[in-house]
Amino acid sequence: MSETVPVVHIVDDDTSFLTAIARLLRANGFSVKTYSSAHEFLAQRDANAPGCVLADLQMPQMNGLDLQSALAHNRNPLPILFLTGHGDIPSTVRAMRDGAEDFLEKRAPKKRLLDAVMRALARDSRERDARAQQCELRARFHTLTERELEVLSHVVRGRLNKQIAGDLGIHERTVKLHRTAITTKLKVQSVAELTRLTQEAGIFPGPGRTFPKGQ
Amino acid sequence: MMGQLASALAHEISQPLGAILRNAEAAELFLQDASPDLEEIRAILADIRKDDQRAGNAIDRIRGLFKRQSLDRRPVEKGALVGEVVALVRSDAAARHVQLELAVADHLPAVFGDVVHLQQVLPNLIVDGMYGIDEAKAGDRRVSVTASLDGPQAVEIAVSGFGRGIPADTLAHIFDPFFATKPKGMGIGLPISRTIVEAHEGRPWAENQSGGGASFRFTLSVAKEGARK
Repeated sequence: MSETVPVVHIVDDDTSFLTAIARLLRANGFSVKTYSSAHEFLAQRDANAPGCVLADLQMPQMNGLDLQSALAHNRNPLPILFLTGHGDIPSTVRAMRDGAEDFLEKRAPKKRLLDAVMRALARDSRERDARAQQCELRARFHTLTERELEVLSHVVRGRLNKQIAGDLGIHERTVKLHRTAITTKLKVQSVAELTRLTQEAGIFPGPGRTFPKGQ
Repeated sequence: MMGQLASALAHEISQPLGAILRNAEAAELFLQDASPDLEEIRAILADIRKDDQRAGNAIDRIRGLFKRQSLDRRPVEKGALVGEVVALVRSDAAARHVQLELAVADHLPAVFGDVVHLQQVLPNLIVDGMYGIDEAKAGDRRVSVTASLDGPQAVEIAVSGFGRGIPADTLAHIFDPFFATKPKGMGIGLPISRTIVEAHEGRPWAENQSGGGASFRFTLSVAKEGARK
């Protein structure tokens, strides 16, 4: 969990609406920052801070959907909620498909607005934890030597020690030593756990995965 | 016609109404405090008043468009019809990195129309044309406006973008309400343009160009010699 207070970033070129909704969210105890354009938000945002984005879908120059794709390419992709004057079905579909947290009309009931913001912040916190876990996991894998990684790649494919020894041209005893080192460094007890962690950390993309990358 | 009016109005006033609602809700919460921040509440009330004014202005503006039953038609010179209007949208075009080209035929005669109404047509088409090419590459970010004679009795004005063009199934409906071609404005600019052009017995239409991109076009009748008022 992060110690900094999550911030609701509101992006809308209509300054009047921007001020009004910021007041409402502040009055409800949220920490709020306002921006009159997507560019302004992207330039000012703290790359690691927790929060969510509440953006007008229809803005000149860079609209809400553009902002969504810019955010998606980020290491800290804050959940995004869209605001719209009135429903626009193609945009809604695209936004939801690209993972928008929710879609709200500007005059949506207060409860629906507040609930959606809460949900977005909860999702950010959840995803942030998952990313931290992934990071920690990868750090563990980074302690492995080249050789240990090589052995690991055979182990997770279900190869036996004898086969691995043959493949790598080393003694079976040496393979066992490497395996012990691997399980100690990765703090795992079983091959099943080892395989699961390796998959979670995405250490060996390529054959064996449903969607091979970079092949 | 009523449908177009209603949708235009709905869009224009939903922003200020949204702001009014959120401000009122915030004020209600502030009032629940043991010692409410009266300064803040005063600011909120001032903003609510301002947004009410904004919504009212939107209503007046749209009503103004349709208010006059008879058009005040006089000869309108090409400068007023095209030149002044293009000048107005130049900064908008520059902000979008769109190059705006203007080609008006020499000795183009005046058309017969209500200048106040006619001057609203071209900006709508140009702004729509610019949105259409928002995804276009740098070299294609051009919108050209041409005005030329179409036979002896009519002037044709065309706004051409060099973007993707318009899907065939959309072409016939592009001047209908809610056929949004751009995110802001929600399909209001083109229907209003159509209403105005048709009120002048002109014809608005859209077509794709063979070289790529699309054109919005409309015709207006030439003012007869000595036509006044």
